[in-house]
Amino acid sequence: MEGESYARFEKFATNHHLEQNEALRQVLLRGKQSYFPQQMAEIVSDYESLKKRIVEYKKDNEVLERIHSQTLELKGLVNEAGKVEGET
Amino acid sequence: MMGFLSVRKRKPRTEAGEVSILDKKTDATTVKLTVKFEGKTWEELSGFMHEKGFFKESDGLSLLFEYGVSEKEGIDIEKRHSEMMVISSRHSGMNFDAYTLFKRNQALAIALSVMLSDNRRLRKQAEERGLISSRRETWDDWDQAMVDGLRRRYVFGR
Repeated sequence: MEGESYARFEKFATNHHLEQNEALRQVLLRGKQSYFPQQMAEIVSDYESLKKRIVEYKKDNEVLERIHSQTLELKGLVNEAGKVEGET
Repeated sequence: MMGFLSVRKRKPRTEAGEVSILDKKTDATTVKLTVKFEGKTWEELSGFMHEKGFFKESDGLSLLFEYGVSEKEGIDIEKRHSEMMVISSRHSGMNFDAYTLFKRNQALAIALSVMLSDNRRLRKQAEERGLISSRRETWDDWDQAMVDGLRRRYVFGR
């Protein structure tokens, strides 16, 4: 575990006047109790950042796809013109 | 008169003394505890982790510990139930969309330098032959830093 979390654990033990073994037992059971609410909070925060990332990805994708498709089109156009020039 | 008999399954009662910290190792940023579990406390915790599909018990315990000491408020699922259902179902779809877009951008970003130089060369040739009319594109102003930025984002994931 991160040192920061351990510091919070020690604070919990002190604030609740518990020795460390009992504090750990209570912390783990508290964790179990708050599992769904915390999981949902993580999903909501991930959802918000996903929304922002998707906007960014779409913006980049639009330009990258345009470069890609235009390059393919130009390749075809220039090759075709080259063939015609070669034939005449 | 019909009677209803409700049988409530009693949760195992956990007791003090069922958790013992045997050892504690600390380094610069992390703390590692060796813990012995017994009795109902372990039944309750291991049953829960099993139900949630934790492959390694240590992963489940670390997460429960984090949640247990967290000062962040979780979400009141009962109050926001319908909103949570919507977010939860959209979340997985959006995860897939983000992944698909990311992978596509990654493939394009890998080829970006070559694609840009091909694009500039072919546009010049096409313009010279009168195949297209001259016009400015968004990427005409892109310098190496811009290309590197896109590669960092999609290829190196930074």
